[in-house]
Amino acid sequence: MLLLCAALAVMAAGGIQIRSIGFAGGLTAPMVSAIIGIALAGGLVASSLTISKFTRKTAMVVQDVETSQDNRLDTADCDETVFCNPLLDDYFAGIRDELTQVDRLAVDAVSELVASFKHISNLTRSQQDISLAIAAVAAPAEPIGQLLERQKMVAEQIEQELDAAVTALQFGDLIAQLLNHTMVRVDAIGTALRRIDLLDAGQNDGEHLCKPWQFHQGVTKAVMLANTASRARPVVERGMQTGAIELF
Amino acid sequence: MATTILAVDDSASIRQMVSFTLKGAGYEVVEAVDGVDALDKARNHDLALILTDINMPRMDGLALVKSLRVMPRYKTAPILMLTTESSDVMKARGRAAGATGWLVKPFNPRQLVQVIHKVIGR
Repeated sequence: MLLLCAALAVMAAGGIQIRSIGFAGGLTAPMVSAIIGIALAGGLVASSLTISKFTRKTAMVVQDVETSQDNRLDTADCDETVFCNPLLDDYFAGIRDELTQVDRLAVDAVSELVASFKHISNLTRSQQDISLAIAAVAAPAEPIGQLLERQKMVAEQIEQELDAAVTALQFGDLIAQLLNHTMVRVDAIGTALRRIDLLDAGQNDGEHLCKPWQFHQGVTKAVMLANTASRARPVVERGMQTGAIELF
Repeated sequence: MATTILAVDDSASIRQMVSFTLKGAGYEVVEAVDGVDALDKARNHDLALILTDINMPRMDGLALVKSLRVMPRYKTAPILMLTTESSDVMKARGRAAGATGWLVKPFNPRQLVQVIHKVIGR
């Protein structure tokens, strides 16, 4: 059973191996970055679904074994979609929460990028209109001073939009860090479960203990080990708003 | 001669954006991928300010700040932390290590330039 959990954990880890995907376009090709961002967001949604399916599937397997092999556990207390171990539930809820956060960050950033680039496009067109008007200055429709003032305002707006785009583009770094952290957590629980499974088999002449309370104890130990192995969440942002600044 | 700033981050995209922002504001930018690389660059350049991430391989940002503060050239140079870490505990550790300020990612380019102008004394 524990090996099955570990194997499923590894499968889940495989499902989210998109952390190495970065945005290569950078500022030299911002639209390429936006497209990669949209693709990344899609991938993340798929990854979240993979993880939640994995958790549900594992929970069902656990319940099946428990009800068929030992009736001492009151399965009526178990929700169909959760483990019967609160610590394990919290652990996987933490993973789901992180993936949801990643998803939200990606969607938020992509929306901002799209809006920013649309604005930049409109403003560029506006700049072109002004340039055309200046070119036709021999017979100006409005005084040259007003045209220059308008051009200055448009240039300022373009700069603001570019600033917003640069802020939003940092989502790649935040996502990479979060996914990395999630991977460490999934790997840690897998390793801990495998270690306990090995110990369990070693103490019982190769036979696995299948009694629910012993399994429960083993899982609790595994989660505690995994929590010790993974450090605190590196990213706390829930949206793409600018971070705080503090001078000491 | 342009003022030189060292941007330290293991994320290439962040280095790219910091560099883009600061070059646009008229600064010269030297990039480093981690603390070890940063120390090497610091020895070979006359840096007016160091902007560093915290979580990096080989040598993290806090260790880098401590190492820089030992070097006479950077004893009082402004060092800003640019990180996703925002807990008070981490800020206190940064301050104790000798950091001048703490900026939480994602940064706004305009605000970043304003803070740098302020600490450099432009």
